[in-house]
Amino acid sequence: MSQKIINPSTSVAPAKHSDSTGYDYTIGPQQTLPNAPSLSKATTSLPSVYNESLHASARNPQVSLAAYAFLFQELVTQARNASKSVSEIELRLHRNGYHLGIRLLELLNFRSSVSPGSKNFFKPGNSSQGVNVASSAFQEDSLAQGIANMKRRDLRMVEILQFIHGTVWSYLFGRVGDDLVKSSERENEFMIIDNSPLLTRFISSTNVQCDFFVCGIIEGILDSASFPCNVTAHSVPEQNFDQKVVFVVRFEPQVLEREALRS
Amino acid sequence: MPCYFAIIGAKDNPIYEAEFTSPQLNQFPPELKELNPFILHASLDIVEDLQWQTHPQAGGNTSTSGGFLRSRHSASNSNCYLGKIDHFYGLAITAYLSYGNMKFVMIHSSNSNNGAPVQIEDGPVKSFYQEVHELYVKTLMNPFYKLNDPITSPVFDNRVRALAKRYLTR
Amino acid sequence: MSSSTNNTPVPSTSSKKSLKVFSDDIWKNKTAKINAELFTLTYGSIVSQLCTDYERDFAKVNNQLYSMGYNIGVRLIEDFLARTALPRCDSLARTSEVITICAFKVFLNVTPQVGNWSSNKDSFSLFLEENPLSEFVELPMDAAKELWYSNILCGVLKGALEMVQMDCDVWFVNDVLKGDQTTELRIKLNRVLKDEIPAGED
Repeated sequence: MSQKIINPSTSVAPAKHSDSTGYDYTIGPQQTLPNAPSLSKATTSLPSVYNESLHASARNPQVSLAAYAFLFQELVTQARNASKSVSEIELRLHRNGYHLGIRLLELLNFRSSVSPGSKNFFKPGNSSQGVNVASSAFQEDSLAQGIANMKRRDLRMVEILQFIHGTVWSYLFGRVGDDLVKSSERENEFMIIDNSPLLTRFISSTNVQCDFFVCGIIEGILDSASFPCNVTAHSVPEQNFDQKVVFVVRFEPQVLEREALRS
Repeated sequence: MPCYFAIIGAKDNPIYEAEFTSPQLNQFPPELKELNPFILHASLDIVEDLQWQTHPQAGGNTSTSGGFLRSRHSASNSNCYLGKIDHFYGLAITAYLSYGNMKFVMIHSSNSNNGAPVQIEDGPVKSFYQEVHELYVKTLMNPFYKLNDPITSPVFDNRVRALAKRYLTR
Repeated sequence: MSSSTNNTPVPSTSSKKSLKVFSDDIWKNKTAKINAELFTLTYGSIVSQLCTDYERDFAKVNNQLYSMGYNIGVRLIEDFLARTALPRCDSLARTSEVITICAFKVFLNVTPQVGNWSSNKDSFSLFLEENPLSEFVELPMDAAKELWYSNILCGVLKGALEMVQMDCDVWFVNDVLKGDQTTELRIKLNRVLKDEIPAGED
């Protein structure tokens, strides 16, 4: 029998990293492990995401909303130019949001697992050299070592929606969503309410597009957490909140079935 | 102890596989080495079952002491690490789930050939999984990485092996 | 050099310092802010989407990023001047300071270093120690050679400078993402447009 079995992780030939060939099923253990100084930053290979820290405070925490607004407007323009129909624009912006959603689910939950008192909790160093600190100290810079127990995976619709309405909203927009409501008519329907959406407030004339994007974020999170659903946004202007948006989440039937089975 | 580790994506596709052995000591016997992926896949059904249980460890095969105490304590509060979920002759299988439901699964073999069942030390095994989880999150943060794609980075591979050395070899 | 007060922006240490204080104040007290990671992730989704759209023709991706940046630049300069009310720069040296100490600060909260002046003082480099666009990015092997991941910045500078009558070439020389030691962006002034009085120290 051949030793070369299906080898998905080496399907793309790695280059530049002369001191490692990456995962190879047939090789087995390597005696030179990356803790050896040979693989530290002294090597002039491509930088690696694995040398960066997941600590929220390891990097520049904020940029101007103006910079973001300019970028977002170009994102919308780009989507418009590349699309033949309105629904295609919607689809593209949705996809951009989805790209963020699947990442936020893992990142924010992982970060929430770190207990603030742990010895590995990030201590801001000399901030002027923040980048250098992060890259040189990467060996010690593991968040996981400061985690006693991982935050629970959310198993219920309400739990994961609270995560979005709370954790995700604060992360993205600096405050929690204004309300989370269960539909009285349909079992699978929930609403996340934002009275004054941050993006729409500052990115004029792109309201609808912002909403598609945020729908994409929500759906990315729910989908990758195994809560398949459909998310739509509805503008519901009110006297005091003329940009009020309601995000309607409609879960697929199997989510309801699963939940019914367990309770 | 030799281990076979894999990360399984949403479509039951392996996105990363590794074998932790040391040449002087122990390796999987060739006939078993070929079987590892199959054994592992066979246990995925169990993972999927435990995935949605409120207290996955209590319902699992692990018969660790004090079910009552366990449920009171943080161990049951956390449902990423599923502990030992299955066994196959002398092998033990442990599993871990990420928030995006990537399945981290490992086959543990014993050092000796006397057929004694493998003892799983939950502490270090759980630490191993959590650190690999962190590496996975970093992988995912890269805008060029697409969900469920194989992880080909040699740096990732190196880090995982270093973690295996730190947590799994005794 | 003339005997300078704070109102005559001759590139001196004191004016540089006051520009920094001025810019820090704008950033701190007069700028609405947003999570930098949202910015990073959104840009990441743009670039990776472009790579797919253009079937990994990275020269095209570079161009597209540049032109997106250009569109931003021509609009951004207005916002910048409105917020800072800075007077016209009387030299390219001063321009380099305003770009790094003020513009980068108030938009991205980073301050690149200026260096590598050409002997005739018509071009210089910006060194980005921190780059909020490229956090958590690892270029795929096929992109490592050709793709300038942060090329949008070149377009922004090009567009913004053009709106203040400076015809410049802006391009990346190095990028740490490609394994270079630094991330270096080059700005070369070709000419001052229209009938503006040419600036310069000489």
